[in-house]
Amino acid sequence: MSSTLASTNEIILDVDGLQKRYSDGTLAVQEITLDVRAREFVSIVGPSGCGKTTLLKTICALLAPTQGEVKLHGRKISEPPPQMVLVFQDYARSLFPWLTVMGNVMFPLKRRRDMSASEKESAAQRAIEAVGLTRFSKHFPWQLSGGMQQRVAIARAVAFRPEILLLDEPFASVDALTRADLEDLTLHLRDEFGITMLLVTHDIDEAVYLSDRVFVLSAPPSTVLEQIRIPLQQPRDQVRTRSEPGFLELRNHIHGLIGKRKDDAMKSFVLPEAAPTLTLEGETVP
Amino acid sequence: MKRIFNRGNASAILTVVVLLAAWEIVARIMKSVYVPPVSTIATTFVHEWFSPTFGQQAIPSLYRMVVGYFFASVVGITIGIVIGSSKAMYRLLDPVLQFLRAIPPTAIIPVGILLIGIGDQMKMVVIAFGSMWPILINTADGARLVPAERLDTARNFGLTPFETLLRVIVPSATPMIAAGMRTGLSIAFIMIVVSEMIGSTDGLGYYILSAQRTFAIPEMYGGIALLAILGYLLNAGFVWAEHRVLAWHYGQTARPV
Repeated sequence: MSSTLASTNEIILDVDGLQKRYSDGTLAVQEITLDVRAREFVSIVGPSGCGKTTLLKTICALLAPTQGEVKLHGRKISEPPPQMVLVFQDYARSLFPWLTVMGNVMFPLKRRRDMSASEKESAAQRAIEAVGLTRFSKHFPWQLSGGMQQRVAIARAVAFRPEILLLDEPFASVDALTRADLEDLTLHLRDEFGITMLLVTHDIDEAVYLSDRVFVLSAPPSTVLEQIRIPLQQPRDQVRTRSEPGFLELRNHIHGLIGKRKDDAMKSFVLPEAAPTLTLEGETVP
Repeated sequence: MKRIFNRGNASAILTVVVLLAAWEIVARIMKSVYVPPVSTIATTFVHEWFSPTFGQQAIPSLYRMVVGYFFASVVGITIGIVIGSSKAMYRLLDPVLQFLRAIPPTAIIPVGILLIGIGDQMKMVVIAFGSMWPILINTADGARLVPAERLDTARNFGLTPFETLLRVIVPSATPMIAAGMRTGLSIAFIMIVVSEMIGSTDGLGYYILSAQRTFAIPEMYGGIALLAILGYLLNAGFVWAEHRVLAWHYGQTARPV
């Protein structure tokens, strides 16, 4: 799957002028407009606390928007559609501890009438295999490491056969090596199952590495600062992709977008000489 | 698998032996009718309880307790789930329940006698009333504190509210339900003794009180000892069953998540 191919695919998800104000008056999401094409990998990056989780929950209709609308295949949605499944950051809280890995993956399939019992079984097994947990299907989630638990949550989502997977910082609470594994797993699942991915993250490098397109959000109340196409070579590779000159350019550009606003806010207490060399992660810009 | 006589058990048994021996010695020195030696109590205990007396006195108590406790569990869990999973019901019923809960359950025994008489039903109702509260309150908390991600997951996968109740809320609440049921069990035990002391012609509460009134002092202590043993066994049986049913919960909390 190349990004050029993806860019010609039809738009399946259309988010138009989405606004979310909480009942206490807090404006979490000011106005977000974005679109996602079939089999595309789209990321939304922004500073922490910019309402990314709220945005995802509003997109999949777990929360009702105060303004704007979400269209799936051109049709406005108001209830969580089965074509979209959300993977939460906190796997320990979204998995069911009284069910085994197999039980968790079967959980959403059990009530489906469009699949026979054996189809459900094999869909679950295939999903578990795709995330590399076949040996652990009889284990309970809490017997597994954090990264493996997140794989269970991903397998559960994939087995349900959604068109779009919404990923809410799914790799934020695992170590760096596990994180790289999980990143590549999502790329692999996109190709194997043809699932479109919409990821929110605060990690700019991760967004650039994974995505065909990145939407950069402002601090809350959030809006889209810029939409960036990522024309890096496919398939992506942790070492090669991250050392492409284009990769560094793109990530620095995004850092600049987010960092500039942060610098503006920080100028009052950071020394003038020190400020320009600081980025979000505290690294020195070449 | 587990050895019965490990180091912890051995020292616990030693403590019991020392205490009983101390009682025996003190009682023999005091020579009081009111504090018979352990050996006398033990002889009476064996004589009384390994006889039809067990069927006449202990079985009625256990029967009332089981029935009362069963109703307490059914009603407590049902109302608890309803209140815990619906904010509207919670707001509506919580003040009333907090008030009713504040009534010491023994205080409703006169009401029970007035309305139902002194038969088995009165005792069952009183037991049910007393042991229902911890079950209800814990169940409601368990149902209310289900992580939002679990409920969102259920909605995301298109579960109906009823399916969510059965497949997510109830299983999530089971550890709290079990904790409430355990507290309820000990309250049921208190209520059975008290209700049988006030209006009864059989049962362990009745037996202990009438033994005291007829100066059958070793029998009185023997009845108390039987209550202690039954209470201990019931609780141990409950814990055993709980650890089997909730293996996932104990497995999960035994490790750092």
